[in-house]
Amino acid sequence: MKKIRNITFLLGIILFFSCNPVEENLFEDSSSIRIERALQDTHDVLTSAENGWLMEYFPSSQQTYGGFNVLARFSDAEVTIASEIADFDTTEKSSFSLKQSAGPVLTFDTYNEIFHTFSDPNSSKSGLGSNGKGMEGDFEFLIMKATQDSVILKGKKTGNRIVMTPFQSGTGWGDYVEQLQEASDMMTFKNFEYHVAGQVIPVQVSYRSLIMTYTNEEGNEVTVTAPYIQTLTGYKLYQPLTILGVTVNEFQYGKEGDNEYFTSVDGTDARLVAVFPPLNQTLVSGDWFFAFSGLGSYGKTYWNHTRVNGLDAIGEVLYYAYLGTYSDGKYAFSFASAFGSSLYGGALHFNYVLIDENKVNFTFASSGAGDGVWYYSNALFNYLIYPLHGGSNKTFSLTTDNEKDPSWILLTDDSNPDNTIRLYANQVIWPFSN
Amino acid sequence: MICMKNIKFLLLIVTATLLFWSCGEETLDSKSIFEDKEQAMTDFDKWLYDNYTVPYNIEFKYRFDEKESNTTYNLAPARLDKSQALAKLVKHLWIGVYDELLGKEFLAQYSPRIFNLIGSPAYNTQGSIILGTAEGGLKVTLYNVNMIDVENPDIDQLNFWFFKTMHHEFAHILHQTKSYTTDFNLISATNYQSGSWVNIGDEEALQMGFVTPYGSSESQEDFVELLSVYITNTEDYWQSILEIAGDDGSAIIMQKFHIVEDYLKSSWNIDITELREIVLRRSADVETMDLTTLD
Repeated sequence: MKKIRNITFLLGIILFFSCNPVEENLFEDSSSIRIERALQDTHDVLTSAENGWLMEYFPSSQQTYGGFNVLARFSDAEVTIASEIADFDTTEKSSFSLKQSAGPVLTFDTYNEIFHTFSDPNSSKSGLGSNGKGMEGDFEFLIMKATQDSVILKGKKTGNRIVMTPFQSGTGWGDYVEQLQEASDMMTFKNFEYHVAGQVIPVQVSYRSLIMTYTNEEGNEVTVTAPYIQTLTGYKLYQPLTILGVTVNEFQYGKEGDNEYFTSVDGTDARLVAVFPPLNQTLVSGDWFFAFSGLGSYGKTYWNHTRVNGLDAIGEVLYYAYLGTYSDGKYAFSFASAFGSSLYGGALHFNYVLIDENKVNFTFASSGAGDGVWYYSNALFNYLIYPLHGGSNKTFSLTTDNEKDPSWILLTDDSNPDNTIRLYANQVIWPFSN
Repeated sequence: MICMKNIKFLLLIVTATLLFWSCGEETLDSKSIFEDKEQAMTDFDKWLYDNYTVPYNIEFKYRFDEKESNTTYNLAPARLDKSQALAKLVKHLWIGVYDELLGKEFLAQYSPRIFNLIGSPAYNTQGSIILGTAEGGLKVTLYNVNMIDVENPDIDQLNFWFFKTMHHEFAHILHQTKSYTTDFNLISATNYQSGSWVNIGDEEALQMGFVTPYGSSESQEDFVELLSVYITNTEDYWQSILEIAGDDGSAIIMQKFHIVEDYLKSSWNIDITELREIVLRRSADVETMDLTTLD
């Protein structure tokens, strides 16, 4: 009896709880209402910044190019964009949408001449990245957080974290962008020494990334890449940089006499000191692009011969050519040739000897990589490189427009003043037309 | 025993009561979870609604929607002014053609339901570029919309990028709806190249009896390439490619052409030469069209 009573009691309890008709909802409203409200709230936040937002935009999943400042003002239907990558007084309008996916997603959904420079796969738009890829930046973003103080976005393809803060500068957009461009011109260097924890680490700059190779606490050689974005006062890093136990988030530019340097804003003991390697070192440590117009009369003759009898004959056009390190790690005359929309690339290896600070001697190594040898034999590329070695080797004297940040280097053949070659720091597409 | 009975009775009552409560009705939320917030319609949206959605049940998607795009490519959205120009062009050069030939009901029934615009080309890793894609007759995606010169439209470029592509994709819809005779597949049966078509040159393709290299990939592509090349080009052009094709090539091309011609006539009551006349006449109008406005 007792047993039965116990069971009944228990059953009663179980049934009572299991059937409790008043179920507390975890959320007050249905999911659709909450989604709609989240989108509306996000929309309200985006449109609330009257002067727009300052967006710290990093394209490319590896942040290869560093970051770029973008100004964005949202209205009900449109977004207005300005950026340091465009003329300072230019703005462009396009549309945007907020939709529900895995949380609210912000899409810049019609083409904006400024904003989509980062994502246009046609690399001639930005002049960066390979054709078909471009800078590989996002224009669709997951909204991680949206408040009046800041909006944090996550690029849908790259996963990059992109922070927007309300634009609060006392100046207008145009003045601000112009100041940024001036700051970038003043504070851009090719090489630094990083003074940290009693060590001096050499730093190379690639686009807006600091590349540092050093020996860590365990005695291993490591290379770290620290992408940054330009600010009015210095560099802000994409993520904290910790080397030998010292962490830096942001650098501030300073100048004393001829010395230019950056100190840690975080109060840590770290210092980036700008150094200027000899010009011949600058030449062989970077990629320097050819343009037909940059050749002297001697070089033009040889290049014309290749164009008419080599390239035209196979229906191709030279896409780019540069002196620099090819993907096989060797120093080379590297190129890509276009057949219709297809590109074929290769390299012809060179050996170099640096003489003093501003002379270099080149010898053709008689080897190639990729399609290098094919073009050498079948498209007369031997004529393209002849001005560099003249059959055996040649010594060139180097001059430049700006010792600190050369936009070009002029090579003058010591044995023939008509043989001059001006090489450019920025990629030159279609060198025969430029 | 009485006690036992009582307990059983009690148990029954308790259970019934609890079960009864558990069946209490909850009121349903009258709001659908699929209800989207209405996006404000722009002038262009209204124009599209009047010119595409209402008469033909076509959605003209000019704003980038990731669901509609291929995530393996790096793409950029279409520019608004270029999308407007293309919307006008498609209406005149494609919709107008079939309206004129067969009446509005034809496209209302057979047209792809979605036109999806992408601003950039889609680049394949081996360097080729995708002009357009069609999925099961429902959706046609047109790439490189941003190349349209709104001020000075170039009909040859437009044909290459968009209209030949649209006629090509639409021809797929036609033959998927009503099959053509399998005799067609036999004519070049041993010559189809599958993916290796990229290695075939224009002239080589013609001499093999294909109007384009892509036509040599497989018989269905062969069929729709023949149709789309024929109707988007003049008779002079057609004769010139037959000449390049030589005796053998042109004989094969003409053998296929007659099947295409018969198929269109018997299955769809379309006279292919009349279709071409309308396409070419309307193409000539492009020079005088104002693509900067919606009127």
